[in-house]
Amino acid sequence: MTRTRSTILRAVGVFALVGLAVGCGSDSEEETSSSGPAAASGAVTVEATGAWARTSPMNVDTGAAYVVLTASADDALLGAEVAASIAAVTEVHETVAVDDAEAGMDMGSDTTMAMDTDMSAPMAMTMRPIDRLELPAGEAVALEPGGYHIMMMELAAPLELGQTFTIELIFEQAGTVPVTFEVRDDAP
Amino acid sequence: MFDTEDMRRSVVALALLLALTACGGSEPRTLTGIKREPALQVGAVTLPEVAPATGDFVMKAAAPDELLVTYFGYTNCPDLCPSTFAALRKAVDSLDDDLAERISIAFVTVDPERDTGEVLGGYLDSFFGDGWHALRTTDPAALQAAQDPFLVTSSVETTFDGRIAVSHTATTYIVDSDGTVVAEWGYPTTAEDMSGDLAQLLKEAS
Repeated sequence: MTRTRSTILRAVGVFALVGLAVGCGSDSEEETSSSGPAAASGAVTVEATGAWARTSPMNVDTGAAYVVLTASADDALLGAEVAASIAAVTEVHETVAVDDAEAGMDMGSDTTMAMDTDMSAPMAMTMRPIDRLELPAGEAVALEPGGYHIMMMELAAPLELGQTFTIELIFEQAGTVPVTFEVRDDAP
Repeated sequence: MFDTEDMRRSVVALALLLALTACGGSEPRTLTGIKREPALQVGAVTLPEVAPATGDFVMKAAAPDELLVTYFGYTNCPDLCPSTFAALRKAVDSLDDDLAERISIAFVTVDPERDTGEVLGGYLDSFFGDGWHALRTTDPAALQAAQDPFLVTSSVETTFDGRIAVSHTATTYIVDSDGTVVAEWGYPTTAEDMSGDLAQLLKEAS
């Protein structure tokens, strides 16, 4: 339901942009002609580079995937999807210090342990799902270890070194973009 | 943001390079890890080892010329734990065998309900092969007592939508045979920095 609506919204967005580009007419034609066909049509494109996912350690059914995204115009990453043959659940996550995370999460308190308030202690880290990741025009935004990542839960099988698979990244403007991820032990 | 960070790193790198050049490169290498003053003392920490051996494990390196690398985490951690361990594995692999065999690794699970001995054993084996100890207690007070001397905090919570959210201090601790934390690596620390630190600390320990 929401899926359909957001697809329509995206379509409307793309339409509006195409309309704007056409409306702006010929004075910018020289500049746009040097860009790729998508840019020339006025649609937002997102370039994805260095896409990789970490090899699964034994006995683990969660995984993380990383990529560097550069949008041709302001855009936002809204989500990610992967085939059920890879994982049941895929989300965009952010690794943050606990203090920052508490504002954004409604925690239960059943097994909470007392927090050490010693100022010299390093901050505990946690992860939280995010609804959108802003991609300012032309800026390379890295999903990398210790920051943003695509979290895959309930992996159907361990991710094996050298394997490749597709994650569909969902952007507000650029729509759904399939990206091939390589399974590696470390960043490329 | 990345640009500023990169620039800051470049400036630091340049400053280090200049410092090294100025001293003719003869100065001893600076440790990447943090040396706390006074150092943390963790030798009184005892936790059950569940794999590969079973029984009480005392949080100290086994011999005066050895080091114990300790981390508090959980196996379902997709980001910080495996990237720390991937770097640590690379660091240990890059050391000469006679140095590498003087390092052992202790992993304390902060999520004992899901991390059984079997899960922990397979997980650590797939990273390190040997030289590791999986430590697990299901007693929250015992886990807390083990964390306190390290100034580690952790929590396992169930969110409103039924997810399990885990938090944990993502620091790596290097412990000597007296139970003294001789250095701490914050996240992230590169494999190169880890191996350089380990080589240096092993030299000091022997």
